[in-house]
Amino acid sequence: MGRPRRGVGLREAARGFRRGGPPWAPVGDAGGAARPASREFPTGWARGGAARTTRAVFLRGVMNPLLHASLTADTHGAEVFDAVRDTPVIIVSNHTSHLDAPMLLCALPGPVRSRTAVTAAADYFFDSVWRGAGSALAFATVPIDRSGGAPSSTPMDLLRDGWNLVIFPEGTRSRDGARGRFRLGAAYLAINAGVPVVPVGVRGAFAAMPRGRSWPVPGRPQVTVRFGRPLRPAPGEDVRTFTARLAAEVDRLCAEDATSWWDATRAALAEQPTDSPVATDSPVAAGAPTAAGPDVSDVPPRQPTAADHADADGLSPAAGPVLGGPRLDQGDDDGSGGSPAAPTAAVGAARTLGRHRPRVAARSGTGPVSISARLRGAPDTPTARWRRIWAATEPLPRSTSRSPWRR
Amino acid sequence: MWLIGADVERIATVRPGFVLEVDERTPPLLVHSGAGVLLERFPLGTRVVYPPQPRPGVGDVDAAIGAALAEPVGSAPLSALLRPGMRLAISVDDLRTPQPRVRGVDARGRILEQVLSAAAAAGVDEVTLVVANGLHRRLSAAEVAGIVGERVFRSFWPTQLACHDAEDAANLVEVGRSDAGEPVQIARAVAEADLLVAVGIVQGPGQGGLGALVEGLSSYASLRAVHGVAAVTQAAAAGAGGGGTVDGRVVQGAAAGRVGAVLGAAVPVFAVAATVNAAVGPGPFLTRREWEWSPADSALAFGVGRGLELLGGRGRARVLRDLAADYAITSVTAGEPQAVAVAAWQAVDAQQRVDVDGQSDVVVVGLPPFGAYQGGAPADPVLAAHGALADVFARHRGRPVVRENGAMIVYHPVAARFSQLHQPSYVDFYEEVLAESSDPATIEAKFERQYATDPWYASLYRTSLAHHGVHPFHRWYETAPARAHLAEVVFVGGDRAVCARLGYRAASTLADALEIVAGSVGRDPSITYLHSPPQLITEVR
Repeated sequence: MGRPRRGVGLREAARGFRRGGPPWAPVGDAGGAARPASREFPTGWARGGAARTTRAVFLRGVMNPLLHASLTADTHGAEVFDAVRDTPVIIVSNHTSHLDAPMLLCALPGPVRSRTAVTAAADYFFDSVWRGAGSALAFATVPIDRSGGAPSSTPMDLLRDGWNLVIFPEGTRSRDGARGRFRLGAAYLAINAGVPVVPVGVRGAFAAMPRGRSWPVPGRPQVTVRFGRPLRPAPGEDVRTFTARLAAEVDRLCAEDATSWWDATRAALAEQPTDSPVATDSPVAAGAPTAAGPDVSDVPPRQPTAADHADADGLSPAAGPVLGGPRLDQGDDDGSGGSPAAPTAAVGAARTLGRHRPRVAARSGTGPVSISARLRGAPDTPTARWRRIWAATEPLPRSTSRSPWRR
Repeated sequence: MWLIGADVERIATVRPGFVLEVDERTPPLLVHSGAGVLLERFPLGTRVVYPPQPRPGVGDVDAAIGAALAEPVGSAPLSALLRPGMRLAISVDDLRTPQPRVRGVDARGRILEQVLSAAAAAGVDEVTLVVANGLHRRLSAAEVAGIVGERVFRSFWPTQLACHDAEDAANLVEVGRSDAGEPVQIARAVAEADLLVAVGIVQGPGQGGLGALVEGLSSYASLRAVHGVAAVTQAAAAGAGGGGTVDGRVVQGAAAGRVGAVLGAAVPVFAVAATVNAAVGPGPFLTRREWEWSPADSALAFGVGRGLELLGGRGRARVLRDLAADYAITSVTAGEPQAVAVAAWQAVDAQQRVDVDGQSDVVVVGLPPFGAYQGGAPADPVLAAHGALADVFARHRGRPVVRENGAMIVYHPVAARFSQLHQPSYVDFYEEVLAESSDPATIEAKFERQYATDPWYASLYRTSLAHHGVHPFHRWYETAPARAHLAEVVFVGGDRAVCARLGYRAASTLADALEIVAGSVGRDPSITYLHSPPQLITEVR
């Protein structure tokens, strides 16, 4: 045994090393004004004519047959894009698998697909030139920095240029198949760009290809993509309320697939929160305000950070822990002790304004459920109910090998 | 009826129908000939009646449906009629309208989703949906799903959503008797409901209304009088064929009015009807004037005609089966059924009406390869006769475009080919009944009862996808007014033996057909061609 060495060894010193980028900033520094915005991976070339043609051929000629050969893929409701023909839209979906983005792109009508970009985690998809260029060419990905700092202007620019944007507001793939907490970026973009949001429920992708797998399980498992009617933010609706609405609609679409449209509609109407600004499933009322909740109408929209826009695969140190379903039901009001840059900080910031937190009322079911509780999926909220249905009906990944040595 | 300002502005720019007189500079004109299209040169001086060009639809269909449900005509809003604990029945029209079938999302599915959303919001739990196919064939599951949409289908099929069965005595309830003593039997789910919502699409005149609702939800015993030769003749004399409305009232046959009144008195009915424009696939050349065709249109028209001819047999059947049209919804109306029918007919009339000066000696029509009863397929001889003599002939407002004792020339390859799946009774009707007589009254007296009660046809109707045994009889009776009006009917391209069995003549070409009819209309008759596809209503002055 040698004598104790002063300072750290080589292994410890190399822990923060990142190939192709500077080391991670301390969590406490994330979002600070002093932090310079990192240079964004250039993806403009992947939206040019030649790249679009290549992508169209790849998605239609390679990816779509491949998905249909390895999955039993069903798409429902893609006709909603007829209603928003000339307007760019944000497409918001739950995220449980790497299959989600290709499934979604292949499910879109051709003209919509040719002008759709997918937001992807910069730290996962764009950490090397080859992976970044490949994903940008194949799926029109644009990088979103989940580590905080100044938000990228790319998503807003894309919407202004008439591109549709696929966003997975959970920021990462689910660990257990349940929907994680929605970040606020998609709703923020929709409100500020004035574009409708098409909610999508993808069901079965987790069972087909969960985290850790790079190919779907054998047996052509069922995966369903269900598009909902476009949602528009009501006048005066704040980011968190709209996010809660989007999350509820995504949950409803998944529950609709698990049960039926009639059951899901009745349940949504029965459990519609009293402070909801619009009816959940009334196409007539969609986009029209009815009664804004007293506790949300006066909260100004928060300026989100780049972390809010995050799609993601892979964990981001600054984005806080991934929140699975069961953990969301546990207690603390802010969801987690995330970094100041994480959207959870917004909940804290709103609280300092003296906003009422009807925690007890929400639990007892006697009063209106707060937006925080709905975002979090607290008991007695529609989200919690959907999660119960979902947990009971969601197919689970099965053992993929029959060999006793592989178990 | 719901149209917004922008819609009204766009409609004003649509070109109306008109009558063209053929001269030396008129190019060959497009004619449907049963299984395809061809280009035909007409004699100089022939009048060609062009239907108005298709109207654009309403901008936002969902908003139009919502507005119609919220502010119906002659009824309280739907939401006010719904209450918790009630039994709600919804009837949906079958595939007969529109033809060719809808490409993409059917408007009936959209209407159903809004009606069901309103029911869910009102706390209605007991909902039954019935496809109102009447004595027509049941629909397959895929066909029902295409009409009602995947969401409604998966929610209700097959327990709470089913096709009507007119032979299921246990599920038919007599809700009353008409003034003439006819028993009116209705599907049990509808008869025992607290409210019936009738959802349908109106494409032509005379569709919709309470009479049509009874036809879709009733039994042979109830419909016997409505479809009898006497009732059909009386209805035609009353001007029901053109979907006429007088002073805001529906002009319909007396028998249909009688049984409809019984249903209206027994069950509260809230009707929702959408009208579609005349957009007909597959190419835009079908709805353009021939002299305005681009070279591409000309090539396509010629190519489609020759291509279908060369394809023949199974390939052509597949192409025609997949035929679908992109319709636009031109109006949505909801409320009291007769008021809804009047509004829908007025909308259809405004889209399809063409003024024609005087009757002519000969009318020429081309039958398209689709129709209400055969779907996307060339018609068999019985349905070809029905298409020309009942469907097209009746498209007038009181006065046919051809004079009495005039002649009709029809383009159709009248071949004795029947669908073994859908038309078992048609085969026997052609082989046995028409071999003996082609007179509707004789057939009704001698054969109808036997076919209507035949257990084999009833079994196929209930368990397979076959039309009811009495179906060909009803179609044949509907040709009776035209048979009485016309002196001569000639099928261009028709099979001679088959045409002879139907009681008509066959010709190889238009010139031959004119030669044949010269005996009744003379050597130099006035000719009117109703341009294909004949989606028009003529007002003959």
